[in-house]
Amino acid sequence: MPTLSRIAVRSALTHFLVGTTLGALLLVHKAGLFVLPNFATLLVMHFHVMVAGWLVQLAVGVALWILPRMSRKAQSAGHSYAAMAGITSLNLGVVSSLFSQHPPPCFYLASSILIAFDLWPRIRPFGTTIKEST
Amino acid sequence: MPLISRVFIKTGVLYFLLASTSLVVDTWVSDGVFWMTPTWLHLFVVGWITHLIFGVAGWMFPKQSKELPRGRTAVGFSGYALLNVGLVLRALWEPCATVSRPMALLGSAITQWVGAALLVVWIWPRVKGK
Repeated sequence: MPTLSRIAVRSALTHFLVGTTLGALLLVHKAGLFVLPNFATLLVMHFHVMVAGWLVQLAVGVALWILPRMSRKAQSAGHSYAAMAGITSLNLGVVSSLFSQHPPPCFYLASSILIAFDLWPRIRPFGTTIKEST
Repeated sequence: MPLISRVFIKTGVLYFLLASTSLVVDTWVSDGVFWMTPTWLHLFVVGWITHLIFGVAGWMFPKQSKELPRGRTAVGFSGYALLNVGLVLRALWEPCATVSRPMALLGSAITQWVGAALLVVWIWPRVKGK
């Protein structure tokens, strides 16, 4: 598993734990055992952490690992930098949800563009190769 | 496919069926309140997707070592058991808004959290290079 995938998958697992902690707090609030003063904010955070931080990030991490590789030259030429920036942007989007009920969507938009830029050329049929960049 | 992955994925498929049924009940039987929405949402995300993820990860992720290729599966099975106890408690008692069951929901929160933590402990060492 390449380094970038390991970073994304470990970050996703961390978000899974954080999101589960938030979910447990929300459930205890629902049970009426104690009252969370900021229930709505925590609910939004729980959603962002679980969907973007856990599920989306895990899918990206596994896709970066599993999909057919670019040639070594092309990969070292910069496409993996796009994925790295995409994962950073995704995490910034999740972290921004911790500070606002309506986090700016620009982080998720940038993340999707950068990750799509990296993954798109790697989705190809068997027996085809990507031309070596000169 | 190893035993632990088969158990996770088959359980996940069962939750998928249960979540879809709950969604239908919530939509058709609802009096406009949609009181089962959190239930089917969690059956779908925790029951189906999370079980599928950990099942496939336990099967496909790099082997931990020659001695423990699938990692500490006892930890994985413990996490599986606790997550399921928590999820079933939630599915049974959360929709009963009029019948207060604070201890069941507290138990659900604790078992789901410990179960999730054990699953992370199980799979974490397998997130590695060759």
